[in-house]
Amino acid sequence: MNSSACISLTEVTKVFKTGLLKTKTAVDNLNLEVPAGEVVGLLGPNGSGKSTTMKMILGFLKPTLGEILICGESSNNISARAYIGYLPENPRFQKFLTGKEILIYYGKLLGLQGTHLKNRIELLFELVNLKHAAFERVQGYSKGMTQRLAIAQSLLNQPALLIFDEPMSGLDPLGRIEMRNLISTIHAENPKTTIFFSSHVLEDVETLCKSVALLQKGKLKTYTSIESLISSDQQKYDIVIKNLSPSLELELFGKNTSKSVATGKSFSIEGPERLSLVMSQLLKTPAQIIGITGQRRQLEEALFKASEVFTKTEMPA
Amino acid sequence: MKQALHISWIAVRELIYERVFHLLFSFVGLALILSILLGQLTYGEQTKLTIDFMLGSAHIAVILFSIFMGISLFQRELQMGSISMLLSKPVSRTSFLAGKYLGQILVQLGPYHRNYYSKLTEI
Repeated sequence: MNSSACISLTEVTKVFKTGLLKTKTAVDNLNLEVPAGEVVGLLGPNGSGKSTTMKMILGFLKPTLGEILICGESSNNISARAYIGYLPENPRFQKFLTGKEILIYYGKLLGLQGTHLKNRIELLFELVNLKHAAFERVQGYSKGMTQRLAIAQSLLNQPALLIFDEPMSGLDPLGRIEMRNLISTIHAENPKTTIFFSSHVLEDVETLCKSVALLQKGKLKTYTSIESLISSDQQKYDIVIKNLSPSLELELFGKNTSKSVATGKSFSIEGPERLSLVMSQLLKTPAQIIGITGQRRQLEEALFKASEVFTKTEMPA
Repeated sequence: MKQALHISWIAVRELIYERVFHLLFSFVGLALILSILLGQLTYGEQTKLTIDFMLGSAHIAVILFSIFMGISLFQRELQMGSISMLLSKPVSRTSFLAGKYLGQILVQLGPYHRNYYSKLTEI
């Protein structure tokens, strides 16, 4: 095991009994090492073993085979949870408690007390912007406020590993932006904290995560940086041109490839080399280039392609 | 052990907040009415029947009351999903169970304390 790894899964397999003689392998021989300070997105279709993996990391489930280490300690030990901060999907709290009482309760469960706990709570209320509602009962909190309180409780012990399960689910667009900013702030303030993150919204994963782990049918399909996943695909560009002569249009882009936009005609170009070629040609003519935008290939497409490629290579000839 | 105490205190507050005692008071009212009504059917043994009926039904009710109170404590925690947040802290399952059980016992022993009802109204 790499000593700097925050999470280390070695040949982890989880088999569930689904009947008297039937079994189902939810996670199959999973090897994954996440270094400290990394923001990793765990992706995969439903039933790919994401939740089971997260539950095993949290120690809720024991792996049938293999070993999971959290900061060097086995996930089966209760003491390993002292390193973890967990934000579940759709968190809910005892509604008769106030926000502050919730944090005191969870803080005491973590063994924090006295002025240390008090200061920590104040700091966290400020971070998640809930100071105004600290003495309000949780039953009056909105979905976004509850989510932010749940983030605050996950940060109480300054964990080395933060596990966020679908942190944006059920939030309105503004709430999602707030949550995204909050996670970025947490990462900026605690650069050594590893954030392990599962989300169905790939746009959030693309913005927040450095790397992604893609699970498929309980197996790790790919664990790579987002940059390499996106840049390995061919970059596409949108170029808007004004006063383009029909003959040049035909020569450069072919027939009926343009889209009319308010400022001119828009064309799609594939690859940086082709873009340079088109640009050099256009500069020689009176045509005006209004704008060029890089079409960032969606992670969704890239992941779909990655999973397809892997599935194909696995298939017998 | 300390963790179990924290959990038990929250369980006590939860049970009081959820007004479990309303169930007890409604039972007392119902048993009282029924015992008086049934007492009317006998001749000369009205007091005995009332006492017997009340004692018998209190015996059954206390058992049911404990079972449902205990179930609701866990069921609510599971339904809300707050158990996953709690168990993601370094809290053993034994402490969690012990805390909940202790909370329930405290609530059930509560009525025996002389200042209990004044405390209840404060919450």
